[in-house]
Amino acid sequence: MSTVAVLGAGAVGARVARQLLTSDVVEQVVLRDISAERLARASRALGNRCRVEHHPFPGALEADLVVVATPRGTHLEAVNETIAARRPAVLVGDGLAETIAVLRRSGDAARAGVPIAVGSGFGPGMSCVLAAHGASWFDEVDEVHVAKAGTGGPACALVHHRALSRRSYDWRVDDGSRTGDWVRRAGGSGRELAWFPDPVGPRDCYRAALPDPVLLHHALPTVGRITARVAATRRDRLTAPLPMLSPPHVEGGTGAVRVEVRGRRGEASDVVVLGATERPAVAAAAVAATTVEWLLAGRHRVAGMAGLAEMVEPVAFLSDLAARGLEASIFEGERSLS
Amino acid sequence: MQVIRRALAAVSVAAAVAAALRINGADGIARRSGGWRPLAGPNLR
Repeated sequence: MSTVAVLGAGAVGARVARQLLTSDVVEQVVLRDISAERLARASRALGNRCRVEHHPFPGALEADLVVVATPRGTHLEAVNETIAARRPAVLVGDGLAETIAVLRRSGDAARAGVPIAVGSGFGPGMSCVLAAHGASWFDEVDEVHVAKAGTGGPACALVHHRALSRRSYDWRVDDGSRTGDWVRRAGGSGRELAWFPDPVGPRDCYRAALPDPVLLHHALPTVGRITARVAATRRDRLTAPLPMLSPPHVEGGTGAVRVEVRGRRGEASDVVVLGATERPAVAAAAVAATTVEWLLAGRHRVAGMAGLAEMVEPVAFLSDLAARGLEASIFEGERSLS
Repeated sequence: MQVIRRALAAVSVAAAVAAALRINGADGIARRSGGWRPLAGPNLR
C-alpha cells in the first residue's frame, strides 16, 4: 500500500484524492493546497485517510508518488523537485508553454529513471490515449486532429481563455521536402465544425495554444500532420485578448474530446474518429487516478517523461477508464469502419 | 449636415445590431447521418 501526495485541492485534485482513496492501491493521500478553505472542504469529504498540509508546507514530502493538479505556473517547480527526489509524478496540466518547459526536463527524468506522466487529464490525457488507440488501427498514420470542448475548474477556464489569444503549434510535414516543422498560427483562427459525442454535439472549434500536438508528435513522430483545436463561441474569441473580466465559474458543464486519425491500411485510406464526453474535471480526475494506479503497479511503458500516448497501453487503459465510468466512443458516419 | 448625422446614426445602429447577432450566434445544426457508439469488445473497436 502506498502514500500518494496530491498537490492542489481544486476541482481535479480533490476528485483525484477521492478516487485514489476508494481504490485498494493507495493507503493514504497527502493533500496540499494554499487555500485553507479548499483543504477544509476536501478533508471533510475524504475522511481520516486523507492528511491535509497547509501552506507554508513542511519541507519534505512523504509520498511514493505525486499528483500535480495545481494551477498553471507551478508545475515546473514540482517536476524539478520530483526528479531530484526520484519520485514518480502525474501532471494534470493543459498549458502549452508550461508543458514545453516541463518536457525540457525529460532528459533529466530519463537519466534518473523516474516515470513522469505529462498531460494526464482529459485534454491532453484522454485525448492522447484515444489518438494512440486510433493510430494502432492503421498501417501508417498520416494525420491526427484533436478537438476539445468545455473546461473544468477555474484554473482550467483561465488556461482556455488565454489559449485562444496565444499562438497555436501544429506539426506539419512538407509534402515536397518531406521535412517537418512546427507551424505557428494565431489562436482563434481556423474555424472548423467538430462533432463531439452527445450531449455536446457540434461545436465550432478554433486553433489555440494547446499542448496536445507537442505530446502527440513525441509519441507518433512519423505522423505528417498534428493539430489541436478548442471549441469556442464568438464571445470567447472576442474577449480572449482581454483579462477575464468576470471570475471563472467554479466548474464548467459537460465537455468532450474528439480525436480524428487519418491513415492507410494496406492500399486504402481511412479515417477513425474517437471521442469521450464527461465533465472535464471529473474526467481529468479519472484519467489521473488511473495513471497513478498504473505507475504504482509498474504498468507504465516509459521510465522517464512522456505523455499518456507513450506511457500506457491504450486498450487496457481505456478499459480501466471505462470501469471508472469514462467511456470512449467511436463516430460511425455513413462510412462505417466495423 | 442633418442628413449625414442621420446616415451615421443609421449605420451605427445597424452595426451594433449586426455585432450583437454575430456574437450571440445561432442554434446548432441538426445531425443528418451517423452517430456515436461506445467502443466495445476485447480490442475496444
